[in-house]
Formats: sequence, structure tokens, C-alpha cells
Amino acid sequence: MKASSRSGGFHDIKGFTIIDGHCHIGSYYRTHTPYCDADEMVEGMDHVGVSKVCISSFWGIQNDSHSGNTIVAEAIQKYPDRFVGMASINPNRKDTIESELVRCFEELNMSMIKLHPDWSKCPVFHDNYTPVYQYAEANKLAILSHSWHDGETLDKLSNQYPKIRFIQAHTGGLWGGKGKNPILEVVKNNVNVYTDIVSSIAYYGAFEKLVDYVGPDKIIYGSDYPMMSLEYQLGRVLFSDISKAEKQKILEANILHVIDGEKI
Amino acid sequence: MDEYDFFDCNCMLGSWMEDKGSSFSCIDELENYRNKYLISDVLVHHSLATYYNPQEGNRILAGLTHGVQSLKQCWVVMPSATGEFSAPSTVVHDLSINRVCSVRVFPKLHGYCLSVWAVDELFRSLEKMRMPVFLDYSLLHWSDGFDIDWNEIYALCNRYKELPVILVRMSIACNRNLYHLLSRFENLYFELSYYQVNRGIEHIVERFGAGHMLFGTGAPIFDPGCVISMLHFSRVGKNEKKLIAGDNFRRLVKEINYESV
Repeated sequence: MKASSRSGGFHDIKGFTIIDGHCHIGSYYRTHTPYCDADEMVEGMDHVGVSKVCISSFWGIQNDSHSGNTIVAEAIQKYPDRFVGMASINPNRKDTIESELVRCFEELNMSMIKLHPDWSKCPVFHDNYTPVYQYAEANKLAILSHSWHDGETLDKLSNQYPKIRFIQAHTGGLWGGKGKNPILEVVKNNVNVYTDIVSSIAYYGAFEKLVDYVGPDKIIYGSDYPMMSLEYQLGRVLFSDISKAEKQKILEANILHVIDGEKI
Repeated sequence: MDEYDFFDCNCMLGSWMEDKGSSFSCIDELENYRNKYLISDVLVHHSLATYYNPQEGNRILAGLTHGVQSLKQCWVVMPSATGEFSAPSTVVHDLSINRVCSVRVFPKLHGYCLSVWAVDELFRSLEKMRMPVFLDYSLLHWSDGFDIDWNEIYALCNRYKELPVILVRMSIACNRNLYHLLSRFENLYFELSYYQVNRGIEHIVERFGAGHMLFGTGAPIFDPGCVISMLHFSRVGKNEKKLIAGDNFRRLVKEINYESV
């Protein structure tokens, strides 16, 4: 169904349960990041009306996975109903990957994996990621990556590891609404591939076209909170000309489906 | 959300070269946008003035908006050294008789600098009118904000103290410089369409009051729902929201001295 034929328009936030699928905790060195510790984040979520956020630590994806994952674990321990933990690993330290994954998922109650190949300067097709994929496949985990390099790589990995749910960060949000995108083609065609809408740039009318392109079941709301505000991308969804049922999928149901619902 | 009485100070009329599937090619399309998002007033510049020829674009804008109460004109201007653009005395005369509500400069896109030696005559004339000037550095991604010449902005605000200077598309990359300038200059404002700092509106209000922020959407290039949501959920008072949503810019328009020309 095309956006133009849907019953859309603005829907108030009160009608939705919201889970943000792509957030962090802590400060980002390049920008001013106020209100970024666990207590401040929960206060902000309460104010807007967001139930849960999936977090990885900037410390973990920029500097030191082990310490960063500990910060995430402390936040989950303090607010088990509000934070969903994403384990970060350092692909350049292959010898630490397996033990860190075991720690994160068997001791620290994490639910997903977060990769940032751009910052680690190690593309997702590098051999060092093999233990990550094997662990995720064996445990049916979701992996959110800043980048899956290109459509061909994402297609290959998602076929090779069919039990992993692959989430492509940013691409859905950044797409301008025109033309085929190789990554979004894989999102549309492969059952275990999704995209989130985290993007600082939000083109006019592109969101509805994204829903038409990949389908409402493949899109996950995310904000990059607290690096960016919770509510910026939220406005894009709430004002969009799609149905309320489609908005509910994007704001909550899809991320619940992607993560193992029982774990959170 | 109509209680805010929105005045969108960052909107473009006309088609543009990087059209991603949306442009306001006529007044009706712009009016549809205004009605959907419950925007009371819109300040528009024309895409031809930006991407073709400022004088031609401004002339077309004047014709299209004539008699449309909800639309206010923003003309694109540039220095006149080459003779391709009118001399400042003619510019301010034309701004006055057309009741233009602001001007916009594109130093990066149009290839000139905003140093005093380049813009002094023009900016002195605009200052005399208290004509709001939008500085558009053609920023797309927030990391482009690292390339802004903050010394240039400092110099402009400092030299032309009666001139409202409005920064377009401020982002998460700007606070470390922006805060310095906001603490020094009452005549500095910024437009909110890309200001995604976590609880950023609230932080600015706490530090500098609500008077420096202007609601803008960046439509039809960017999604207006984002900034409306930011303002709606911001933890500031109703009066502050109303100022930011429209009344700050309405005040600047009221303070334009058309008779000074």
C-alpha cells in the first residue's frame, strides 16, 4: 500500500509504546553531549515517553570494549526495565572477542551486539569478525552495525548466518527517497535484515517512501540518544503519512521481534 | 500544536537541483505544507535566488508572494563589487518598497567571504534598517559545522551591533563555539531546524534565555516533523516555546526600520 493511500497524519505519542533501537551512553568527544549518564537518560526518556532504549557505550566503541561494556552493564543493573544492552567488541583484538562475548551475554545480561567498523577501521568482512558471527548465530542474536560495508557483503553475511538479525544503522534514515539503494535492497529482500532511521539528516517526505520501499516490518526507530535528542527522529515518525499500526511496528514491535523478546 | 503560532523562518520556494522528491514548485504546495504542520507564517526565499541568480529569484519571489498574507519574503543578497548585484543603496531601497522581512547570504555557495573589507558597505546599510540577516554556510551534515569560520561571525556581530545575525542549520557540532558568542552578543540568533542537541533547547534557555532561538524547518528539503517534535518536547515554559516558535522572529520583523532608507 502506498503512503498516499494510507490513513496517516499526526498521531500523538500517548498512543504508542516506544523502544529506541539505537542509543549510547556517555559522552561523544566531537560534540557537546549533555545529560548522558544513566540517571539523566532515564529522566529524559520519562519526559518524552520512551519505555526502553538499546545502548552501547561510546567508551566501548571508541576506546576499550571491556570497560565500555561494564558501563552498559551497570546501567542495565540499575534500570533493568529501561536499558537493553548492546555488547561492543574490538575486532582488532581478536584474542579478546570470545571471552568478552561470553562475559557480556552470560554474566552481564546483554541482548544484542554493536559493531562500529568505521571507528575500529576493520571492515565487517574481515576474518576477525568470524567468532562474533559464530557466537551470534549459535545464540540467535541481533547485530547492529554502523556499516555493513556494502549491499553485497550484507547479502552474503545474512545468507551465511540466517539466525542472526542484521540491522543496518543510519541508511534508512539518510536515504533521500529517490532511487535504489544497494543496502536497502538487501533490507527489502532478506528476511533477517533490517534498517534503523537514525540519521541527523532527515529529508522531507523520504520516510514515507522508505516505508513503501522496504516495508513497515523492516524499519526500526532509533535516535543516537544522548549524542542526539530522543525526539528528533520521533517527530519524523509521528507526523508521517502512514497508519498508526505501521507506526507501532516501527516504534516498538520490530525491535522486539529483532531482539529476543523474552530477554528484555 | 497550533497553540505555538509557528513562524517558519527557514523555507524555500521553487525547485532545486538536488530535489530528493520534494519541492514547493508553487504556492499551493507550500500552503499544503503549512496546513499539514499548522504553521501560521512562513518566511521564504526562492531557489532561483540561491541556485541561479539572486536578483532574478528575488524578483520572482516578490511576484509569487504578492498578496499572500501567510508568506513573508526573504531575499538573497550578495556584495556588489563585480556589478552583478545592485549597490547597497539600491538593495535597501528595494527591500523597503517590497516590505522584505529578511535577507539571506550564502558565502560558501556563492563564493565570497564575509570579512569586513568585502561586506562592510552592504552590512552597514542593512544594519541601518535593522534588517535580519541569515548566514547560510550551506551545511548539510553536522560535521560540516567544524568548517564554519567563527571568527568571521564574531567580527560581524561585534561590528554591526544593531544588525540581527541569524545562523542557519546549527547542529550538535556548534555548541563549543556558539555558546561563547551567545554569551557576548544580543544580536546573535540561530535557527533550530538541525539543532539536535540532547535537551539542547532547554540548556540554551537556562544559560541564555529563550530570545536567541528561531523556529525553522528547512522545508521542503528537510523534514519539519523533527524540529516541531524537538520544540514540543523541550522542557521549557509555554511562554518560552511561544517565543521560539514564532514570536522572537515576529519581533525582529516588527523592528525593521523601512523608513530609514
